[in-house]
Amino acid sequence: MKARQIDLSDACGVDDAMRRVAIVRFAEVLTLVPALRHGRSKDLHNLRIACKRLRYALERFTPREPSLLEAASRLSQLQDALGDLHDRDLLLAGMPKDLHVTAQRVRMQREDALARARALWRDAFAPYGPFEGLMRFTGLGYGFGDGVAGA
Amino acid sequence: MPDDRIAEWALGLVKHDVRAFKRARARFLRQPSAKRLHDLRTTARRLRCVHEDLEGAVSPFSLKRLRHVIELTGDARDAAILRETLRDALDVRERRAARHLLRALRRRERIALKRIAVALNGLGSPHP
Repeated sequence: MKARQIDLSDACGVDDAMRRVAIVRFAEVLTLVPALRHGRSKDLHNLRIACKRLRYALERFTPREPSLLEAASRLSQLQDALGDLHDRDLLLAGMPKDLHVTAQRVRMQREDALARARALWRDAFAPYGPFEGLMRFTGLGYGFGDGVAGA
Repeated sequence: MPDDRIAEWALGLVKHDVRAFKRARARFLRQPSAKRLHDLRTTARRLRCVHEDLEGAVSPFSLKRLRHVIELTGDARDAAILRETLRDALDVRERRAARHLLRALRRRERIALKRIAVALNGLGSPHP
């Protein structure tokens, strides 16, 4: 999934530029998060990429905006869970048909990773949770959480 | 164009990521390992992301070769991780049936690692 372009041409100072980047990258994540509910591989992969972009941006900004640190750390955990899931999807796609028992184990590991990702997402929006600072900084994400990923 | 403070800030962030990438590249070329491959891949992706985020604030530079390195490190990383995941999950009764796939993954990893070294040597400086 291609990253959306960010217009910084009329940004008023560094803080405003950081906010614009964070808003666009967080919006990309929020758009893709229904993937956690339906569990489709391709969409989950795109969500993982979007989480990574947002996390990298936030990590760059934390020296000036420490309130983003917790969100960056939660995104890293989420990215790990989605990465585990993606690895299992790749493995299952290339696995010979006669590896029945092994494939069943890998499918279970995939379900565990998905459950972990859903829990991490849901919990991120709790009051005073890891996304609190990010939501305040961007003005986005209110109303997300339980309703979106509560599968 | 954004104001000078933004341009200066953006250039500082890009330079930071360029330095990290160059360090990771030098370490990987000196002695390739799984850890160094991971570092190389991560620093290359961070550099691509910082460019995408701040495109309008820094002078443009080509990401074509960097993208190629990211692609190759992805091949090597995928092959290594898939092999490890398969080994961990493998049922003892299916060991024989998995042998061919494990070998193919090992081969894929080796080929990708060689290609990375070639691509890195031809990369030059990723940014002014």
